[in-house]
Amino acid sequence: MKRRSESIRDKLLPAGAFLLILLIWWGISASGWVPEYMLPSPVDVVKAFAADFPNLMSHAWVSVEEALAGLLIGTALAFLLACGMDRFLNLEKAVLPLLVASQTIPTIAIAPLLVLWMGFGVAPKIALVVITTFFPIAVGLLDGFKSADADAVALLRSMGATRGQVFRHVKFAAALPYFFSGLRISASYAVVAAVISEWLGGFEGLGVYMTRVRKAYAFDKMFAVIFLVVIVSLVLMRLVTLLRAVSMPWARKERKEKEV
Amino acid sequence: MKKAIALIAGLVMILAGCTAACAEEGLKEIVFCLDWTPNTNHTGVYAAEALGYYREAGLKVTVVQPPEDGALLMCAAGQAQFAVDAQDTMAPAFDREVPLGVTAVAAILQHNTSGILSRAGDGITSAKGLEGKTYATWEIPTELEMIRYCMEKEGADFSKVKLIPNNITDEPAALAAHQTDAVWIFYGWSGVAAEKSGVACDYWDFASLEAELDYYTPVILANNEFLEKDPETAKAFLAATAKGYEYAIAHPEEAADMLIAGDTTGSLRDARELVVASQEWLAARYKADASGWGRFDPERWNGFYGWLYRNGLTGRDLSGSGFTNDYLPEE
Repeated sequence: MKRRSESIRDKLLPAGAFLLILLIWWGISASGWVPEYMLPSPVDVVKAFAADFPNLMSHAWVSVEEALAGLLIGTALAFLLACGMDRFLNLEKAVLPLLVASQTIPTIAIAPLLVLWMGFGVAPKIALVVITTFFPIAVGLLDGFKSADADAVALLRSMGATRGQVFRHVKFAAALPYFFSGLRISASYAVVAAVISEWLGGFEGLGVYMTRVRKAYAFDKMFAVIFLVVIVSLVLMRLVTLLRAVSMPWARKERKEKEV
Repeated sequence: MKKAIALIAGLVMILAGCTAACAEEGLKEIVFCLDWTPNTNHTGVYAAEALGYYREAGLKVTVVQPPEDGALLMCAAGQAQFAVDAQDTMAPAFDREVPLGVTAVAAILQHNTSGILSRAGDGITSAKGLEGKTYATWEIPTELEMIRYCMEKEGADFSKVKLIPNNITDEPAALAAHQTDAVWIFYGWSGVAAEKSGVACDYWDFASLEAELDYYTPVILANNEFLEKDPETAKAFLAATAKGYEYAIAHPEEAADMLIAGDTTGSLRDARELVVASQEWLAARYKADASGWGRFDPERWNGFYGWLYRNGLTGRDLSGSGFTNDYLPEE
């Protein structure tokens, strides 16, 4: 019984904080302290969202497709690279510092170059999502492989397990929680990366929509699209959590056992 | 350690000295927000600064660059007293329930010197030539409507133009590489660059196809609250700026060097030849046929805003709004 009330409280607190911020925001706009071009009223934002809904959805769909494609390719690349680095220590030594350095390249600097190299289609957009999303997953996986219980590895080896078997039964399972932590971070970046890439040229997508409404000085629409990006990113992160629960049923069971 | 202390003490003294000196002289601080990186449209401001016109007028002018497309907003928000924009891109700022608080106070160039650049021999010597060709667009509704209008006026079909996104920075090179067949340029910079590039190009401009498209680009705009509160400072700034542009008209080469020297981004340093050529081309066009630098012809301003309204680009008829000649020096 106690657990249930706790879980209700856990949900009420953020909802309450959100409502409070919304109320303060509305109060500030209604009082006229801040002109509408600096901060449109939440009522106007909701109206803009509703009025432009079909248009927003068609742009959102394009961005989501780019984000998902990029996330998928990024995950696959990260997986291959992490496996390679785990298997060959020299590869890790050679590549890991470069990977870390690559993460310090500002997105806004590389995006126009990608458009230059790959043209105006979806390719440079997906590429930018891949670049931003694959690093947290690769590093997470690598740490995960390393976290595998050395005794368990030794035991399986002594029983004549092949490298592949050790990988499948010990390392892979050990790495899963790390993988999902990385994937969650990447999912939260994916949509933003797609949007940024769309600023640099294109005809569709939330980034293109943003550029258009900015040039039209339509601030209510600008805020509406910002909220949409937030919502889409949260949904994507939620999906990762669900995927984690489905792929690692034992994790839930273990947690329950611990709590009891 | 001692050296470091001496250095810091020295710096503090220099800073204190400046603050004291600036305060003593009672200079008024003006922030001037460019529309883009420094270029030959801005020369008058750099010349006025280099020649001490602002200081003489009791002003301390700081030139800043905007966040993307943000000059007008920075000015409306009061972060800059003056900013550079253009009559066409300003229209959405006035076409709303509560117009943004800015007014165009001076025309940097008298006429619209923008048009369409294409490879020579492709036959895009007029609007109708765009039929069946590729055009790199910024996707601004006004831009596309102007092209559609000019094409239809010549009996051509706009829907047969292939549109691609425009992220071109070097127009003649992009044309030579067949990245696009046609692209919108501002002749004072890109047209002059094309002449120097050796790529044979064709060019036509909107103003010559339709008088109503001869709008003002670029313009200097000012924050309304500032204009109301301190009209004298606004007038002093524009008078000094006008003198700067008069100087640039009379001495293109010297003015070009002042622009290059004043450009803190350093983007012009390696392009002196182009800057001078551009400056020489613009010298005759800053003031052109106007009675004084910066003056708006209300008929021409309103003509374009009327055109926007009639063609459905603004929801309100903006004729008569958004500009004033009141802060320019007397004729």
